[in-house]
Amino acid sequence: MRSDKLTVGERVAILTEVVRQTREIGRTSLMKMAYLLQTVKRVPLGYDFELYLYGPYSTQVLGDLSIAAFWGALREEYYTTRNGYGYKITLGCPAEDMPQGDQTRGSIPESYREAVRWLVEKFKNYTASEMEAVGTLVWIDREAMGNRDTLSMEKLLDIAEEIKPNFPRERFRQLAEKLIDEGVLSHVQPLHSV
Amino acid sequence: MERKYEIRCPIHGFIELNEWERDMINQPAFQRLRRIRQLGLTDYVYPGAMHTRFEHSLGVMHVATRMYDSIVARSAEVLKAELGYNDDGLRRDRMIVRLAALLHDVGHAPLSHAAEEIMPTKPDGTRYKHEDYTAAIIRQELREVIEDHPINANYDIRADDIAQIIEGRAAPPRASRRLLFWRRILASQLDADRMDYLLRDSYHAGVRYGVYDIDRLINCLCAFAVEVEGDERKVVIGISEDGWHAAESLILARYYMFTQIYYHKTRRIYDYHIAEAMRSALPQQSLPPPRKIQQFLMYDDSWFLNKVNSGRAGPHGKRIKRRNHYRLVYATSETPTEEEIQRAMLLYERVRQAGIDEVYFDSPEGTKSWYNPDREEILICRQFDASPVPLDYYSHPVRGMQGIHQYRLYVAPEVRNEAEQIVREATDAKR
Repeated sequence: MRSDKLTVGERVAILTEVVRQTREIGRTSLMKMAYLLQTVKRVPLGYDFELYLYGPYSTQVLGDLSIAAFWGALREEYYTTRNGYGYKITLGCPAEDMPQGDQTRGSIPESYREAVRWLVEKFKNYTASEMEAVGTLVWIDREAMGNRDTLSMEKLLDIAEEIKPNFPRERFRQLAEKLIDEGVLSHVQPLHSV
Repeated sequence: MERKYEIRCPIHGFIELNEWERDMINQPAFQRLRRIRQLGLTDYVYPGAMHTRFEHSLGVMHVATRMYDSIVARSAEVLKAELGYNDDGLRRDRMIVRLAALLHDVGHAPLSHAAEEIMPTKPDGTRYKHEDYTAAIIRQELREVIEDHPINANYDIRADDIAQIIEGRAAPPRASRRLLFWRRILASQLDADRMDYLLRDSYHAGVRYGVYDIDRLINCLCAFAVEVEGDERKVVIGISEDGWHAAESLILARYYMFTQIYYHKTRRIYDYHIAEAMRSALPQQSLPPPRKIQQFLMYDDSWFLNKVNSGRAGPHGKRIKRRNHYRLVYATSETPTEEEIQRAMLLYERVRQAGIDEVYFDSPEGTKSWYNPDREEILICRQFDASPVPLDYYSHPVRGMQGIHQYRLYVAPEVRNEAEQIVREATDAKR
């Protein structure tokens, strides 16, 4: 009996593809990219996401990241800042130098690569904070979908602000409007609708 | 003055309750937990592992309260500054955390996690989880005892507050980042659930793998504000630097319990047999959805074992009754390479092609996250530096630890020799 979810090798390949296309990414952004790939682009990653103070979060993503580092596909470096810390993720050793050969290249369908390309194109210039905001907005939208509900823009922003009170409301609004225009948020009434 | 009660616990000594909590425990939905085993049929491997979700839930409430009190004692100023708390707010949320911890498992199906494979699917195609049932039970069956109890006049707690902290939802009625913060006490790598079940499961199974320094760990918990990757400041729960070894001991305990108990080869195959037997025994081959919660509450271990005993749980039920489970014929290493994974899948196909139908391929893709020691950063608050560091930074064993994603191939004992021959031939051919 085999699950219809992706194998660990396929999931690692997808995460590696994100890093390959972005060249360098932080953990927060990679986490939110994984969330959007699964939730918006329907890539069957099979991660269980929960809502934390930093938006959608799954320990399974970190588990796969750890495996990717173990296989040499990705490299993760920890750094400290004046008031905190972060992680920088880059590609690991070249495929030909991997002990077991490239375990990730070519093992994902082109449609998933295309989903990653779409995601990277849309969000590659977003900061970690903005990726969290996007993830949070999508999460709220999907909750509304689960409740068969439609939120007004102001309600969406109220909930988002409760979770991320230090993120500017106006920036939340801009992101939400952009996501509505792109069809990413489907259960929010845009301001200009009648 | 509120009257206090005490219950004896083999793990924590005395667990204290007030009258409100006692009345909640006396509800049929909670008493049902006496008939839900914590570890399914793990007693088929470790005969002492017969403990139930009932005493575990009491233990989680006890531990969660200790954690809450420790964090508030050490970090009240941070909580007030970052989350806008006053003393009344802290007192109220302490009660919410206690009740959420007490009720966090009321939605478990018979034999706990083994039955999660036969929970029905939601409209979006994903499967319901026990947390969904827990939230439904809290909102429907326990709403009255939560909201209308005389002691609640001092707190004004709604059933939705408790359900929301368990679900981790964002939406109103009381969207609150405070509850999202305290949710880490119930769902994280340092949560009260884990802290209790490691000690409890270890005790009842008769092993020492799950033992760690819980007192030291709780005493070193703290809350602090931090910026992550340049994001705005957030308040998180971590460990003070002098307690990092205690945190390491918890991670190692979980790793050993996972490999020796939770992921034991025989225990795993019984999870499969349980799911299939339950599927045979249920009218719709799945459990009722959370909206039919009263129907759901009729199902407990007694119902299932009765079905098994009376021969009404299909062929897998028969195997359970006779302890005639499928046998392991092949397994990858605990952290296999992609090549090993492909080989395991190929062997599975070969066994199937040989006409062996009674086969089970256990893959981690079908494994719920609770089984797996997934990565999550545990932050250590340093004494002489504002920047926290992850536990990995201090602990070499934790840094080197990988999630277990082992693949296993099982067949019915009647065809074991044939399957082992296939595996041998394939392995010899590879050489």
